[in-house]
Amino acid sequence: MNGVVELIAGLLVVSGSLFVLAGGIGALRMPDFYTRIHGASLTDSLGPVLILGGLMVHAGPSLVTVKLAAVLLFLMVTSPTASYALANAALLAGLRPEGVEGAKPAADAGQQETSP
Amino acid sequence: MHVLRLGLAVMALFLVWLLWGGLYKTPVLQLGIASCCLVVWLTHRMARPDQETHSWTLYYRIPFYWLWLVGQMVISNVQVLRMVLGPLSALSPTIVEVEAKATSKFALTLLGNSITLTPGTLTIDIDGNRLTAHCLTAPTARDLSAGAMIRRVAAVDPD
Repeated sequence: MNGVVELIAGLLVVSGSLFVLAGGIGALRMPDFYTRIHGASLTDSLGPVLILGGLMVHAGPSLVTVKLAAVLLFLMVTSPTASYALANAALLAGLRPEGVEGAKPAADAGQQETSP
Repeated sequence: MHVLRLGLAVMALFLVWLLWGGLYKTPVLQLGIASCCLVVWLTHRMARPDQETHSWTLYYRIPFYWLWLVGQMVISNVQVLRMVLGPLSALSPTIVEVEAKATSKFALTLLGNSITLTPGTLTIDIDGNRLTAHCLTAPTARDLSAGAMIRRVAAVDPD
């Protein structure tokens, strides 16, 4: 029984770490600023959910689990806020997304590219 | 009355601090009280301009929303994982504008954060109740425009 719990906790932590690693790869591989944020967002969505989930399984029903749940809750509120601050700052500074198809801002991007 | 409420807030925070700290020495406790006072003062300064009230039913609806959001996160994480490791020619960055159905600050924050929290979609601007989102591929942009998330957020905190 104990072995099974340890195994599940280990698997969760390892798979979470893989998502964090993939986030790093994404941040390096993606072509422009906004798509890099998408790549890196793997690091702060399912990565910590799996890692902290694994640690909660490992800790069992105790005060440590409550603390980990609180950490996860705060992380899930603050990390998208930070991403939004980053992306919005870039947008306000006038950085246009590359290769965008779609609504109004895409037309602006086209004008910027023709007159650099 | 006002001072009483602030005092109660400091007491409540300090109780939580005691529960989580587990180290009961005089200098540590003094630091704990000081940090609780600091937090209450900062929050008091920040929270005054926008005092929105929400119904208590919000607190039992939101865990169900979180469960649904975790499901969405798993789906979109696997999609973006494929994008990251696969050929970059599969990318088709798209910008969409969506209109939120619920207009309270809480609902807008929840929607904006939910969009950012699911990889593949990223909130880049909020203007009134219109949100601009940058999407990694055209299909994810279509999914977002279809509005399942917008409807669910509006159900959590209706106007």
